[in-house]
Amino acid sequence: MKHLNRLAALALVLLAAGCAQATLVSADKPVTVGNGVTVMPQRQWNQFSADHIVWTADGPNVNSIHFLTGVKAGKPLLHVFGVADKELPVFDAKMLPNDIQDLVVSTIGKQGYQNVRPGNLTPCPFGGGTGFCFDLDFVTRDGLQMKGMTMARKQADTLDLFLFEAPSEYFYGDLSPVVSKVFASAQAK
Amino acid sequence: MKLKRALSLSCAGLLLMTASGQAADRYAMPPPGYTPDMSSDEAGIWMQVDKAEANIKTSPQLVRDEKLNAYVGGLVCKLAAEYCPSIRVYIVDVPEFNAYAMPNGAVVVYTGLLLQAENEAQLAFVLGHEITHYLHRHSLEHLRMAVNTTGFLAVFGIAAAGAGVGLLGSVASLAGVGAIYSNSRDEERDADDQGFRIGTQNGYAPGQAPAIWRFVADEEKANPDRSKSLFLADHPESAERMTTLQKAADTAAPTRSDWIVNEDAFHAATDPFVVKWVADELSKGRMEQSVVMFRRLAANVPSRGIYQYGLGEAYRRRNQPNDVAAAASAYRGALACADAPAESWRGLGLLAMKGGDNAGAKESFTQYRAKAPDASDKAMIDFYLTQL
Repeated sequence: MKHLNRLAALALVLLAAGCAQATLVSADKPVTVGNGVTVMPQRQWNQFSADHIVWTADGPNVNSIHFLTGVKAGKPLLHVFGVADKELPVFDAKMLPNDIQDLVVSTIGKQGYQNVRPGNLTPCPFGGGTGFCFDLDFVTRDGLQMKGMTMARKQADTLDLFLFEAPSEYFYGDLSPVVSKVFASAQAK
Repeated sequence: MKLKRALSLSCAGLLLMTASGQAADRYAMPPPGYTPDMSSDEAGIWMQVDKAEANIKTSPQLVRDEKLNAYVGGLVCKLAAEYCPSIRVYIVDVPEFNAYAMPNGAVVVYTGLLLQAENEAQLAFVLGHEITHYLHRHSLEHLRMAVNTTGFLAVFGIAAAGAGVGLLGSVASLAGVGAIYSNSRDEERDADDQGFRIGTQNGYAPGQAPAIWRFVADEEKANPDRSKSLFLADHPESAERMTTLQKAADTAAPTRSDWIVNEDAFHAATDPFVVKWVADELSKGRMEQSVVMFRRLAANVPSRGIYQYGLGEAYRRRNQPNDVAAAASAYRGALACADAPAESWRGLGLLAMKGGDNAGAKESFTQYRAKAPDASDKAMIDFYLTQL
């Protein structure tokens, strides 16, 4: 179980309890992932819905895209299994992209990952407007090297953020081209 | 010289026997170079632990820098005296205040501990503590008891499954399996007691022993909800340890005037890594503790701007009322030091931009771009500059 991050573990617990079900996402139909944001899947995915939508190709402990949409000011990006919300860092409407990058780093740290390093923070298109993108490198509790790709936009006091994470060996490189296309396909109201 | 130290340590052991009346009887020390008889139950335990040690050696999280390993390993050798050949030190890249000794003489030191310590004396007292765990065979007795009561596979097999890649897996798994090497609170007190003696026998300033526990106690106070670290979980409350060690330090301090701290040697060995360790600490997302830690390091080691920078980052990321002013002050403090990270300018720029001080933001971001032309966020900073 320690291979799994806490979110993945929660997803599996909910699944076992019948609270969460995996549904198949088709490759060729746009999907609304929250807060009026739509993406084109590009390939088939397994979708879990807990407090946000998660897509995975090979299992949530292997690779996953988290669609963290409509995050309001004063709220954490997500709930972390075993960590009280009051201990989680929260989004602030005044945050700049660098601050939001640090918010993601802290949230991942709270999930139990170590040595989280962001990089390549840059403006990028998001749903026809301007958002920002950055990469992540981190290590699981078991010493597995992971990589991440993030795209986000801030609108007034709301944050939409996509996060893809996978082991850096094979899995990240295997899926990152198609994930980039998923991110680039985002359409927003 | 080595013989002298060995005699010295033996005298320390004799003193401990006399003082406690039973410590030496209770914790029989193995002879230097000891290995268990192949027909003993201990040999089976060692074999499993040897496998774990072999995996540490190949872990990507093992810090392989020769100079740092030579420094920490040399310090352990100095403290362990004639037991030096029996002890191997592994520094692992985990941002937690932790260290532990395995029954076969492997001692694991986390980089988070090296970030927290301010000088060689503080590190020496922690290492003396861990050396005592090995010499007094604390965790071995626990493992033996567990094996006798629940069976070998129950201990090592279940532990392996519970750790995902297993007890014998990665370094980080070993961190998670630290409980396997856990010690009772009495044993922790024994390790504190003997570790203090080992440190002071080697001339380390006795006040540094309670000091490092005081730091931990202060951090615990900052957020009582936090889960205790593995190192602390089975230890007497740090406040109690601090009090006990402070009494011992007060008694020992007047006995000589040439106590050593070796702050310069410690920083010469660790400075090349501190920027990374600060980033690792900040990435844990525990800003209440980080603020307390960096505030202390910045106050106690004021010549090093990296701690002021860490403090500024912790305040900015904590983002509580009054943190903006505190972060700005810390960044400015960092910039007054020779080793100021260029990111201090970025921090000031972010604060200024959010506060509506466009001129200040422009000035700070321009300084940052000039001092860190290849920064990984340069495109974002350039974008900010177009908005100001």
